Amino acid sequence: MIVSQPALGALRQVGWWALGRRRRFRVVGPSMEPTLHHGEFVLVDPAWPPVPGELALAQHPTDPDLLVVKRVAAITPERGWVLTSDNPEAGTDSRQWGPLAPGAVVGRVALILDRPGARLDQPSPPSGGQGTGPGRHRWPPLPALARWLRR
Amino acid sequence: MAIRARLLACLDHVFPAPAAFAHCDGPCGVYDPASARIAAEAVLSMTRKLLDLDASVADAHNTFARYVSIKEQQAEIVKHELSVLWGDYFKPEHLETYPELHTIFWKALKAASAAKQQLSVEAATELLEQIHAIHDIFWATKKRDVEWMLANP
Repeated sequence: MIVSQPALGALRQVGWWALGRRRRFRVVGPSMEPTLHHGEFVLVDPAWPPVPGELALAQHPTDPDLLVVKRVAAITPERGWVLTSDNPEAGTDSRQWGPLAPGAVVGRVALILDRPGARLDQPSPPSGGQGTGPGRHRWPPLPALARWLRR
Repeated sequence: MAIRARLLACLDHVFPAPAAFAHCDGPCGVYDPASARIAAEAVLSMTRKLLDLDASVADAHNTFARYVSIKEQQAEIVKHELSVLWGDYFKPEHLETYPELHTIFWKALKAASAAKQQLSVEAATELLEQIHAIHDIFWATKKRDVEWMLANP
């Protein structure tokens, strides 16, 4: 049986979830449309931070108990995470908050459980980021195997 | 697809997932009874202007229609702003400290409806008074001393 690449990736994420390595969250609100719909469930990888272009789960700057899901536009070493909304009219993000502190991001959105085949990266690359090539800012550098495992 | 959605819903029923917010209303936390107050002041002002309107002037019909239209719109805005404050900002723990909260909001919304339907200075004034009470409770929950100010005293 031939299993497609996205299906394998989804199975891998569900496997990690079964092992307790992913956390499930429910999306509330429309600010990440069309990537995430209100009410959908996502799996979040708390171990690896997202790179620019990926989706981040982060603590709200004024209320750390609130977790928000946003897209990483850029990571600047001196200022922190620049987060944006895919649907800017329906959300608040770094446009209002400014960049978030380095410790504010708690994980990377790894899978939409409702639509496991859906792409999480943006159709058009985010602009304004400094050095937005994937993996550019990741530390420590990932060996190919680890990269494959979490795809 | 339907089966997956149902399974996920069942799972969430047993083990509810925490929320990841993707909207403004909750996380931005910007609430202020001032927006209700400004609209309520407009309702009161339009009510007074309507009562003072001189019907013998040539464009009285036009002015009358404009005033009524603004009063209707602003009363709708008051009702919306109050509903957002009541439903989204205030939490059950606030009610423990301020048990009169529900009654105040209910009276305010009733007064907003009355001020919209009728040409009543009493209803519009009552609306502003209830919003004043909401203002006091709101800023007390924020532990801030914010003065009640009217644009049109």
